[in-house]
Amino acid sequence: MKKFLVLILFVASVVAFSQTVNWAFLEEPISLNIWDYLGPNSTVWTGYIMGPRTAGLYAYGDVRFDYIPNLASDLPEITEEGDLWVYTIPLRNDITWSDGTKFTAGDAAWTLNTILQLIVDYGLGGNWAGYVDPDYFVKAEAVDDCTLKCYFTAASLAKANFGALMAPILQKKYWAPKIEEALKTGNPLQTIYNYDTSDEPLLGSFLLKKWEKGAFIETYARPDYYDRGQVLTLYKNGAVEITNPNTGEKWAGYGEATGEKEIELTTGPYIENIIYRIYLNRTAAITALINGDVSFIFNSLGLQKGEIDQLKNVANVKLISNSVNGFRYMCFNMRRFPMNIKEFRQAIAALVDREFLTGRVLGGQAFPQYGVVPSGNVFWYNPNVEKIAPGAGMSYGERRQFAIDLLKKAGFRWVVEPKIEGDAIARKGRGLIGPDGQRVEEVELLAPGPGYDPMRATMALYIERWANEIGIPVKANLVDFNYIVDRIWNEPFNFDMYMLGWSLGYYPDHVSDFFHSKRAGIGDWNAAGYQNPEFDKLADEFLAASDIEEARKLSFKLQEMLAEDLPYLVLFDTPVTEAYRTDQIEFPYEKTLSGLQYVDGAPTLVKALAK
Amino acid sequence: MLKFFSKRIVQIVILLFIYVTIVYWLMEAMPGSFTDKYLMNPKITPEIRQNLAKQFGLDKPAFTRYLYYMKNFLKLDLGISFSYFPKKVSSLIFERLPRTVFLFVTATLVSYILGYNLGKRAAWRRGKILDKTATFVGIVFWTIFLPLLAIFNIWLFGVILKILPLNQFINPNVWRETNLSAQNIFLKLLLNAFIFLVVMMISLIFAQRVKTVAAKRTIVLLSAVVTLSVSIILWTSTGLGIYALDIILHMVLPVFTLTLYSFAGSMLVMRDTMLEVVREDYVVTAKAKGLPDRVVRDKHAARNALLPLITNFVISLGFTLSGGIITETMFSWPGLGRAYLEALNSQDTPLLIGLLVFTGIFVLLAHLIADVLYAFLDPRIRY
Amino acid sequence: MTEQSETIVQEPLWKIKLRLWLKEFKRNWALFRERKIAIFGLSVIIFFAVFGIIYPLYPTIMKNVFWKDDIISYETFTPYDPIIGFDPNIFDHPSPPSLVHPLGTDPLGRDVLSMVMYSTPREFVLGITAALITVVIGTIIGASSAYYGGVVDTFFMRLADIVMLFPSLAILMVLSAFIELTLFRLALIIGILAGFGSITIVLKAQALTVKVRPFIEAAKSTGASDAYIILKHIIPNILPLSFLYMMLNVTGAIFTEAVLSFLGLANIRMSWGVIIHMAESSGYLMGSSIGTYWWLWVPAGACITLLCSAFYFLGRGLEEIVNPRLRKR
Repeated sequence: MKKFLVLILFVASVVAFSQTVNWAFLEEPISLNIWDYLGPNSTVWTGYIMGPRTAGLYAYGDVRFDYIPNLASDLPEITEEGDLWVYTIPLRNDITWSDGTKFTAGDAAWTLNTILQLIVDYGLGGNWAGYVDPDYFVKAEAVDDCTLKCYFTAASLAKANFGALMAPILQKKYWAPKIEEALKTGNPLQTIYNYDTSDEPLLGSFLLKKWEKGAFIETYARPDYYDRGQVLTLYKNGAVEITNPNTGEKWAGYGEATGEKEIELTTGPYIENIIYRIYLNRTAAITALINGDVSFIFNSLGLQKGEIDQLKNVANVKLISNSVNGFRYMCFNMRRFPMNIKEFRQAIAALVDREFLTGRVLGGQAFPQYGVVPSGNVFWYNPNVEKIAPGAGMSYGERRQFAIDLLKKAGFRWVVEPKIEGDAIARKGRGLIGPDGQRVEEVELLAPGPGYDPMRATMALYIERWANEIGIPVKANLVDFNYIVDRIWNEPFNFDMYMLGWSLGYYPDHVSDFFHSKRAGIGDWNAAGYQNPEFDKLADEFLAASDIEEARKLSFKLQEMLAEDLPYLVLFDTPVTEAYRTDQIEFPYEKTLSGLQYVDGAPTLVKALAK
Repeated sequence: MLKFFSKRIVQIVILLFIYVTIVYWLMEAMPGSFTDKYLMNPKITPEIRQNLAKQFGLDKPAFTRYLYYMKNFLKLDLGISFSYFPKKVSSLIFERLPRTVFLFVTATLVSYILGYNLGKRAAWRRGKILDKTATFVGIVFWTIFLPLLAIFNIWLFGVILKILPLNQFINPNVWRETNLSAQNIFLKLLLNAFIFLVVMMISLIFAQRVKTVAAKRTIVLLSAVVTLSVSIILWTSTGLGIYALDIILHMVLPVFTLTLYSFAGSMLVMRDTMLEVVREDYVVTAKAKGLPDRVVRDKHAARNALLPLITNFVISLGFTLSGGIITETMFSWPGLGRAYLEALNSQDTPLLIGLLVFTGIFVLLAHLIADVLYAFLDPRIRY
Repeated sequence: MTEQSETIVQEPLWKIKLRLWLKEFKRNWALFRERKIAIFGLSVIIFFAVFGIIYPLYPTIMKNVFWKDDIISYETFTPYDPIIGFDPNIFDHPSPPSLVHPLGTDPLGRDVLSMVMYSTPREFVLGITAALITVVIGTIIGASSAYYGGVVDTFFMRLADIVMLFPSLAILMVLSAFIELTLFRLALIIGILAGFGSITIVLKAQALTVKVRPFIEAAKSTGASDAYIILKHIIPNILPLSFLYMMLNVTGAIFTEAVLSFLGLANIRMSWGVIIHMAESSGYLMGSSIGTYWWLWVPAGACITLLCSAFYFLGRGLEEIVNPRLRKR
């Protein structure tokens, strides 16, 4: 009887304190099968759900995105064994799967080896290959329950630390028989993608409760979550400290963990349930936020100007704005005349007044970007690129004059030379002639139409006008996104200039992906056709770096080189603005790259406020 | 009659094959492919992209894929979706079909019933104030920009008056503690609606055989009330009532909007046919016989004018896909039209082809049913 | 001698024809005038035609009235350009209606009135081109199918069956992916799709009733060629009905364009649909903003409804002339 009463009390208290948080989604996730998600079907919406379900050996810390141990208990120790580089990783021993079994090095080794096997033998694609690169990763071995050894062909931050060692770890006991069974079928990958994983034991903090197709997904917090109570402390001097008073685990890195603290975060989860409600248009989601049906909206594009205007005046709704890890850019086809002439590219760059376009024309909805590493990626961004940008700080007239001078310097002539007086164009240029006497015919600028992205469309039209004023015959062609992609990568490289955008990862190895000369082949990323042996050498060094500080120096040099050579003219990006209800939830922090949705809404840290 | 229908069915099969072929090659002609979305991710190298293309079967030449598709189509297999890889297109369609069908059949029925009654009265009192207002208002709504109407209604009823639930097709708070799926309830609701319609049809036919107007009325009303109350009792006694009610409440706004938008179509058809029927001899005779005005209108004129309207109704059901694109997006109703828009945005060609083919079959069936109805309802037509 | 006699005979015939035509026209006009709603439709159409034609005057007037002292920024920012216009003197866009911008500005700082006016002639061109194409195709095919019957008839009727299977909006959405849907191409495609579809069946049915009339037999017996009979006898008799369908199709074309633009699928730099899309995609078409920022959607939305219903009203007015059975007794 007494027991029964206690039970009743316990149930009652759980119900009383059971806190539910409602999030708004604008699209339905595809599947909760992780093989499928990181294979062909990665959408951000699936990612928002998968994030709190999975865990890797290492992770990015909150707020500053420090590289910190997660399932591991310390950073890897790197040694050379013959031809191979060995990363020895000590693992935590206080971690359990959601079914109660202990997490061991065997799970990690099995996961990494299986990913590699599926990539090499069956062509497992998508983001899995972004984690595990078969050219670098050789194998993983469990030395004992708490020690993992990973073998790589070369030391590389990009491929090891920020690659294979961040892959999500799956439970061997659950998956090994399933994978084996799948390998016997006619189409192993499809069989694996099709597995229903609702009973999968997980390492993450939230598990699935109900998925009502088309309407909502509900998850609940693991009562036995091993990180509950763990404290992450970020110090102003850059040091990071992780302590868990419950288990006594402790880790510190990146300097002396003393001095002023930037932030201190204690892991929860503090909420019981999350309901992800699916709305099919933004208006519906925002109305739901205003009505209080949801507390936060996931929307990778962020709120639009009109939505911000409206939400500003709603009580208990707070707007937060963060910079994003991406940029929209214009790419020159350096295989063609006149885009192959550096001064020509610089002249166009000089004409483009990013501050005017973003601040005035786009009404402050966008902010200028100058380099190939976004300024929001503070650790890796080289602020010097702003000064290198041609025309930086110049007035309307000066920019035009500077562009004309650049063209003249390179030997360009005009049939009618443009003339600038003050800020006005006294005479428009006409008939541009190249240094070798070749007439510059129409230069086509492919850009997405206003339906896809009004900002890029507007910007393309402005660039067209400004270029034509000084006699550069640019023609902006606003077309379908797929058409641009087709012209660039399938035709291939049948373009003069195009305008598109990138969304990037935290570690800036994309610089080498986009501009290394070995990546200039058909269908590959170096669409500009940039060839610079000096750049290639530096980029190779950057990829091979195993020390973060050294990698940073190399990255800075690469950025400067590109700001000078301009295969890309990086233009702008939009900040991501989000809104949440302050009367329903409390976030531990608001400043974070790409916004709170980038950290999946911080499910283990967010608190629900009692009503 | 049998000969006519077997000929029709052969025709339908041939049409379907031509249609599938055209749809297939139309999709094939689209530039780019599903794998282009990986062009947005710098981590995915060209080799990985080719690998993925191979998994989707995009590495084979288009004609081989076409033959493969047709082979599968004969087995009633619509292939595998790309964006929901590796789910079957048919399972995706089945998942969304009940939602779309229930919403649009209801909306179309409501708007046709309204259109029929208004059109009937407008024609009978042609040139009078009712005729003029109904025509004017009807055409204005008919030509209003549907997304604007939807946005306005959502704002008025959901935000300002707060009398109708908003934004989703169910309320998660009602559904989160149950193991029932909304799909289950949708199917039950559809079954219920179907039974109701069948009962009403039977009672209407039965009513034809009774002499007095009062008796007719009683029969129709009685059967309606009985079926409705039996359904309501069944719903409440099984405890599923609140779920069904939740769905129906969420449907009020889209149905209202669609009715407002489209009743003019059926109203004008009804009005115009009525005007023609009114001049037929039997109507003139009936009037000359001194029968009451309403009896002539309802019994002699309207019943015969109903025929084109019913055909129209059946055929219009086939076009729910086009109509659904806007409506389902505006009202967060994840049905076939919305699936089409999403598939188009992500270049999920198998799903696109599947949806178009499915609606094609639906339209052809609707036409066949319209033929049957014609034969059944119009005594003058004998095949 | 023969020449002379011919001229003598020809002149009066021509005159008689004209007189007959005028008489017919007068009678129809009288009928038409009875229909207030049709008159309303016609006046709205005329209003829009004028509204569109005077568009080029608008920037000039505004320039001379409000921008006299600031020609440089006028030249630089072209504030009344419907596509890349921008008013640098207003800091916060969208701005409410003012003297400088009678219908305010949109979120990109463009003048709404100038966008609406600029789009008007384009909507006309789109609607009328599409409808014209539809009707030309439908009339010719309908007439020939009815006249020849047999293989020609079967072919075109089955073709119509197939075309009718395609949900037109859904297909246009697909086409938008690989054809740059400029205004003219859109009109062409809408026109062709509608032309080979249901309208052929309707017009064929009408042509069939003409075919059995005695004068066709008479013409045949005098040895007139098939083409002559179709052109001179059948088509003129189904033309009124074609014209009616043309009116109704204008509405369809304008509407389709607006929906495509609203979904961001058409490649049209400016149209009424694009204006609404702009308001929606920048987040002004929801909640209380609907009232606060009315100028972003009311003008374009009202234009669509007004012009579409005007053509519809006109069409219905004409229908009563074309179809005597609908006339009042």
